[in-house]
Amino acid sequence: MAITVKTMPRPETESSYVRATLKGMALTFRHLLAPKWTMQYPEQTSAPDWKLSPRWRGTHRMAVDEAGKAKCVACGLCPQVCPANCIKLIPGEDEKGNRYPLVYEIDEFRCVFCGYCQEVCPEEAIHVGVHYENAEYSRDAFVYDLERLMRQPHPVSTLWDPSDPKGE
Amino acid sequence: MELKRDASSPPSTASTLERAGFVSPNWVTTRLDDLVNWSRANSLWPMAFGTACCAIEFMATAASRFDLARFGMERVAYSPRQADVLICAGRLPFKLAPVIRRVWDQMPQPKWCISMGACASSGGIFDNYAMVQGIDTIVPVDVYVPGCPPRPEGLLYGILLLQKKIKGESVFDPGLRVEQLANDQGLFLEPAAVDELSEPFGNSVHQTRSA
Amino acid sequence: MTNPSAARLRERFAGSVGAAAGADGEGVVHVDAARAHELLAWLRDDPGERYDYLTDVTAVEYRDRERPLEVVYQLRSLPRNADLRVKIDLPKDAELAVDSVVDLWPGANWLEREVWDMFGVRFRGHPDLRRLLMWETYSEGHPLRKDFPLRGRFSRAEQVRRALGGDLTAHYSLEELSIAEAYDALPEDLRRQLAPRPGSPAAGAGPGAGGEGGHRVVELALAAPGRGMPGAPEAEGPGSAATAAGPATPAGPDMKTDHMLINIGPQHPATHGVLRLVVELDGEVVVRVIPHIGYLHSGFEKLGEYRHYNQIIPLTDRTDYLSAPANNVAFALAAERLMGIEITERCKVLRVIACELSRIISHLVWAGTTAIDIGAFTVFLWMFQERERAYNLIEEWTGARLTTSLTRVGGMMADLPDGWTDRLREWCRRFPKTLDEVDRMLLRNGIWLGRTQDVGVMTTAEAIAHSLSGPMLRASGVAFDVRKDLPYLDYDTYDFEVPVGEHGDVYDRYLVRMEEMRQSVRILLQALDRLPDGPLNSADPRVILPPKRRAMSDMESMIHHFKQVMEGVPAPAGEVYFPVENPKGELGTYLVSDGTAKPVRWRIRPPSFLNIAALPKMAEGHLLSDLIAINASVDIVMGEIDR
Repeated sequence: MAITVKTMPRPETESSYVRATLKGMALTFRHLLAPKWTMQYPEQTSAPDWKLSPRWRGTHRMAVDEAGKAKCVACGLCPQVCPANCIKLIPGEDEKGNRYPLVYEIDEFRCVFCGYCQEVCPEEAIHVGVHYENAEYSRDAFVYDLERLMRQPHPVSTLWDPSDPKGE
Repeated sequence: MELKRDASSPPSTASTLERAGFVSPNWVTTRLDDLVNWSRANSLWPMAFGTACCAIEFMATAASRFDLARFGMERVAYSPRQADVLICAGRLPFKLAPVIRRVWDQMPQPKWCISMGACASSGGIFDNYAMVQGIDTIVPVDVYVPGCPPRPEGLLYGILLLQKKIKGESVFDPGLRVEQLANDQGLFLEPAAVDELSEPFGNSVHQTRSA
Repeated sequence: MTNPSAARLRERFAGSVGAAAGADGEGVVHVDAARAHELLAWLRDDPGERYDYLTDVTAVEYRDRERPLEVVYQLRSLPRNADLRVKIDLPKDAELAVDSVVDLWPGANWLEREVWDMFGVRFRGHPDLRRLLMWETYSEGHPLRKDFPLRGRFSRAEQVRRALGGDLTAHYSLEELSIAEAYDALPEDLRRQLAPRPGSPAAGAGPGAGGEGGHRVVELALAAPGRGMPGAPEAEGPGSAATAAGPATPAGPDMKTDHMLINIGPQHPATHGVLRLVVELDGEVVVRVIPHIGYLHSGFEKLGEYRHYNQIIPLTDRTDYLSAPANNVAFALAAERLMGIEITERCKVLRVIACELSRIISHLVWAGTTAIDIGAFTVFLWMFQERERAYNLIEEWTGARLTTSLTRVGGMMADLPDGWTDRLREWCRRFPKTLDEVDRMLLRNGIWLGRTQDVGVMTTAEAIAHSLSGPMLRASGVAFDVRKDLPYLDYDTYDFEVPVGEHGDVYDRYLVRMEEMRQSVRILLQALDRLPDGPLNSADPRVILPPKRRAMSDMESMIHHFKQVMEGVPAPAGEVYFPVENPKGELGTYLVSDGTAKPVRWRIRPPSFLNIAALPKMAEGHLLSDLIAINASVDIVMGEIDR
C-alpha cells in the first residue's frame, strides 16, 4: 500500500489529421449500434437502466393524520433550520391546548430542496417529495399554503425515514 | 406578491384579444395564429445565459440523455441576436444584472424568458448584498422553473409550458410584443415593487443575526 | 505543539514576533506589521525554512469590536512539507495597511486585491490594487466587515437601480494596457470614447482603489448603453463576444501597427462561466490578457457567518458545483477538526467514495467542455453519458443530482441504499472503457496535439510562484498532492499513483486529468472492498441528532433534538485551516470560531481562483485561439472563483 508518483509519458507517434479523423468517425459510427440512450421525456419518465430515486428531494408535501388534519404541531424547527429561509409558520393553539399551524407556507421558489426541514421534523409532518414537474407561469403560484401542501399526491422521499435506518 | 404584468399572467387568448379590441376573431386570423404559433413554439432557439449550477443541468439537458433538440431547440444560440428564448440558468449577482438586461435588449422580438432555478427566480439561498432577488426585477419572465437546480426533466417541463403559452398567443395582439422600457428611475418596475419582490419570505428570526 | 519555525523566527526577529499559538498542531505566529515583509521574505529564502509556496492570504475580523483585524498569510514549504500561518494584527483605529508581498509571491496579486475589496485593507506597493469581486464603483463599502449588513446598506430597489445604471462596460485602468501612453496621441473621437475619470472612484468609506500616485483610471466606453431602447445604436457589448472599438495608436502615414482590444465574456460559451477576458491583440497574437471576475460573486463567506455549521453545508454544494460531494466533505472535515470530533470508520470510507466520485464527475465536465472548445463535440456527449450514469448513483444515495448536501458535521446525511455498492462496482468496471475510447480519439490525434502541445506552458518554478494547485501544479512537474503529502481520511492507506507531467502545457494537463480519473476508479474499488459495517455517525452527542424514533418517543432525546436545531452546535474558540485535494486543486477551509454556533469567518481557499489568476502569464504570446484552449485547460468553475 503506497502512494507513488507516476510521470505521464507522451506518445511517441502522432497520427495524421486524415487518419485521426477516420478513426474518430469509425468509433463514432460504432456508437450508432449501441442501445438507444435518449429518454423520450415527457412520454417516458424512466429509462431501462434508471428510474427516479425514491430518495429524490423535490416538491414538498405535508403528511396528514387519520382525521385528515395536518400532522404539523407548529414546533418551529423547520423555519429555524431552513438555510434558504423559505418557510413561514405562525403557530396557533386550539381549545384543548394543542398547537397547530395557523399559517404554514413554503416558498417553493426560494427553496433549495436540501431536505433539512424533513430531517428535523419531530412529527414526520413536512416532507420533500419525489416530484419535479413544478414549473409555473407566475411568481405568486409558488407559495404553497398548508392546503396545497396537504393535497400533493406524490410519494415522499425515503430519506430520514425512521422505518428505514439506512436513510437516517 | 400581487404583481400583474402581461408576461407573468397565464396565457389566455380571449383576454389578450379583448384587450386588443378585437370583437370576434375571424377564421383567417385564427388559422394564421395557429400556423405562426406552431412554427414559433417548435423552433425556439434558446439563448443559454448560464451562470452557475443550473448551467450544468442545462448542459445535461442539451446532452444525449434528454436531448433538447427533440423540442426544436437543436441550435443553442450563444449570440442574443439569433435567439428566441432567454434561459437564465443560475445565480444573478448585481454585477451581472446590466449584462442580462443588455442581452435581453439585444434579442429580437418575438422573445420569451425562462427563469431556471431558485437563484434566478428569487435569489434562493442567497438573500444577501450581492444577489439580485429574482430576475423578474430586471427582465420580464414567462416561465419559472423552481429547483436548485431543477432536474433536466423539470426544465423540459418548463419549456413545454412555454410552448403551451406561445400556442395561446395571437399575432394581432398589439400588447404582446412591446419592448419594456426603463422608467425614469432606470428601473423596469416601480421601486416599491422591487422591494416587495425582494423581501425575505420565511420567519426564521435568528438567521440575520450574527451571534 | 509549536512549530519550530516560530522559535527560529523569535530568535531572528526579536521583539517583532508575538505569541505563537499552536492550534491542533498548526503553527500560528503573530508578527509586527512594520517588519512583516522582511520576515516573510526571510521565511521564503532562508535555507532552513524555504516557505516557497503561498497558500492563501486573507483577513479576519472578530465580532468583538475591540479586537484588531488580522491579515493572515498561510505559507507552505513544499520541500519540507510544512505549513505555517503568519498573522499581522491591525488595530482598527489606525490605518488598515500592510506591505504587499506580490514581489515575493506573484500568486498574492489577486488574493490581496480580494482582501482590499472585502475588508478594506490596503497593501502598500501592490501594483494594481483595485476591487476584484465587486465592481469598481461599488459604493456600499467592504462586504466582509462586521459593520456591513448582510443585505447591504441600500434598499433592494436602490441596489438594482445602481447596478443597472452603472456603465455596463465596467472600468479598466488603461495603465494595465500598454496602449495607455498612446492615449494622448489618440484622435479626438477615440478620446471621447475613452473619457478619463478624475482620480480614483470613491469606493466605499476607504480611500479609492488604485488612486495612488496620480494613477489615472480611464473608463473605456465600448458603446453607448442603449438601455431598453430598441434601435438604439449599440455594439454587442459585454453581452457577447464582440470586438470593442479598437483604441489604437494613431494611424499615421508611417503605418504603425495597431493593437486591438477584444472583450470576451462575461456571457460567452468558451469562458466556462461568467468570466470576462479583456484581450489586447497584436494581429492574432495575445499581448496581454486581463481577466475580470466577480460576475458570480454571491457572498458565500458573508452568508456563512450567519449560519450554523450544519446550515453551511448546503452552501458548500454551490461553490464548486461540479463536485459538490467533495466540497461537503471538505467543510465537514474542517468543522470536525475545529470541534475535535472523531468520525467512524464507515463514514471515512464513504467520504472517500464521495470525494473520488466527484473527482471523476468534475473531470468529466472538464474533458467534455475542453474538447468542445478545441473542436471535438463527440467527447462532450460521451462524457455526459458517463456523468449521467454517475448522477444516477449519486441521486440514489443523496436524493439530488448536483447539490447533494451529503455530509453533516460528525457524519453523513444518509447511508448507502441497498445494492448501491454493486451498482458502483459495475459502473467502475465499464467507465474506463469510455476513457479509453476518448484516448483513442485524442491521445495521438494530430489536431489535438497541435492545439495542445507546447501551449500555455507553466514551468515548475512559475507554477509554484503563482500558487497553482491540483492538476495544474502536477502537470508542471510538482508531485504535490494533498492526499499524498497531508493525508486525510486515511488516504495514505490506499494504493494509487499521483500522475505528474513534464512539460506543463495543455496536453500534460489533459494527460494528468485522464490518469487521475483512472486512479480514482482504483481508489473507489479499494474503498468498496474495505467498506466496513458499523455505525455511520459519530457517537458524539454534541453534533449528531438523536435517531428519529428516539426523538419522537423519549423526552430527553426530544429536548436534545430541539436544543441542537434551535441553537446549533457551538464550536470551541479557535481556528483551523484544513486543506483537501479537490478536483480543481487544493481546497482549503479556514474556519475561525469565537465559541458560538456560527463561525466568525468561513474562508474558502479556492483552487481555481489562483489557477485562473495565472492565465495572463500562460496566454502571453500565444494566438487568440490558443487562449481558449489554455483557459479551458485551467478547469475553472466560477462559483468557486467568485464565491
